[in-house]
Amino acid sequence: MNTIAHRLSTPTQPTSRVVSTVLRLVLGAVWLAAGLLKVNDPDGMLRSARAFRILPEALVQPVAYAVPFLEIALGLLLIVGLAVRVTAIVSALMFATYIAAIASAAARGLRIDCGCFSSGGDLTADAPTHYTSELIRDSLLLAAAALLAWRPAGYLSADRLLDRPGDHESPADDRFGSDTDGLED
Amino acid sequence: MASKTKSGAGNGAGRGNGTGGRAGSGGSGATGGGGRPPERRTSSADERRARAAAARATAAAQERRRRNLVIAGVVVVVLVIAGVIGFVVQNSREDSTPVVLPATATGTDHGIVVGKASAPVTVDMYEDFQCPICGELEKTTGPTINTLLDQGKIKITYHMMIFLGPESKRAANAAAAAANEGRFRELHSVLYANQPEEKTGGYTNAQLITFGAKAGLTSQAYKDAVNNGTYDGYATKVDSDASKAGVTGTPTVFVDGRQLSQDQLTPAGFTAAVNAAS
Repeated sequence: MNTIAHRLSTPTQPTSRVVSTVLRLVLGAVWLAAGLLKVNDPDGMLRSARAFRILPEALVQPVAYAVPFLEIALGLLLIVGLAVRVTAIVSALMFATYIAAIASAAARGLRIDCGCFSSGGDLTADAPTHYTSELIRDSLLLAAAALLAWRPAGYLSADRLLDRPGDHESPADDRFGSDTDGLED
Repeated sequence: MASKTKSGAGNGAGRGNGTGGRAGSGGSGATGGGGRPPERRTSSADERRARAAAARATAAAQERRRRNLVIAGVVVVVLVIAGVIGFVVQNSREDSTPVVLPATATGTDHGIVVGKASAPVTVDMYEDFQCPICGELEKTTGPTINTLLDQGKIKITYHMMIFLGPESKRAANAAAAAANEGRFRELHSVLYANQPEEKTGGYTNAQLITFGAKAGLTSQAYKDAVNNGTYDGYATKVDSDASKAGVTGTPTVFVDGRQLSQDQLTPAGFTAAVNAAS
């Protein structure tokens, strides 16, 4: 029973909790960094969002302005560890969206910087694109977010504080509660 | 006793086990001590206790579920609010710079027009004063372009983009001030001749005033425009109009509306494209 697989997949096992904690903090830090690096350059974000040429012009501005703040909020919530399953699901959805956007830009032969950790946008003619590494990175982040959504219980989280000591482990309930909410967005 | 049953129900890790009465059997082993065979009455009391514990567990689970839902809902609302706040904050930052058009910004999308109005071919140049390839283009093909301008074969609409950073914006602002005095071309040459390394804080206002003097711009109006960022709003507008027009990088050159390929950005390629258009 004490195989590695068992230890990783059983939420009550310390190993599983440690993995969840690490994933949560890493994802939170990634969001926070991504958001903070972009938040002071609304023009750049506008250009980035437009450069993908996916959104209609009317939506470019709202999305470009809102995304860095959303990323910072997600980062803070993950680091604090509040409603981890919900924030992990939202994170996974966002990474999936980014992956789709970058893949579609690559498929259409656009030469752009994804603007993931900076204000990207169009590249000058000679600048290299980094679609492959951008896609691999976002896929890893998506996998991390999915893992965290599956096993959100870790240490050092607000969720754990809010649960009464002795019964913080009830995967079935969590799954029910958060899944319902995951569908709302 | 109550605390004992509670903890007994609690440590059944799987919730499914807890409701199945199996957790109760552990409890009955403990209470049925004393050697007597378990009687029917004791066992039914145990069952009742187990059922009560299960009910409590179910109630606790429901309470947790309800609370999780509330927290999840609040978090989702917080995320939405964060997005809305972001939109409002960035929007209010954005609209603060007024758009002042320089006198010669009469081309498409308020581009700055250089050359004789009678020239048969219109060239649209999208450049960024910081972009190294634009500097290259100026060095290799600039003389050819200047000759064609002077011969009256082409007129150029310049769209100075600023996506490489604040240095680009300062330079574009200065160039717009030069355009207002009809000396865009002169400053354009001086700026590229003194192009700083990309994104290293070059094109300071002091430098731009010095470069202006080299281009014959010594008026107070020019200096004020450089120092006050008079045309910052204009530069931002030109940049966003260019990206709305689908220009995906610099340098991008159109000859009578047809975009030149990278290979055509040479003296020969450019001249051929102009001849083909005229």
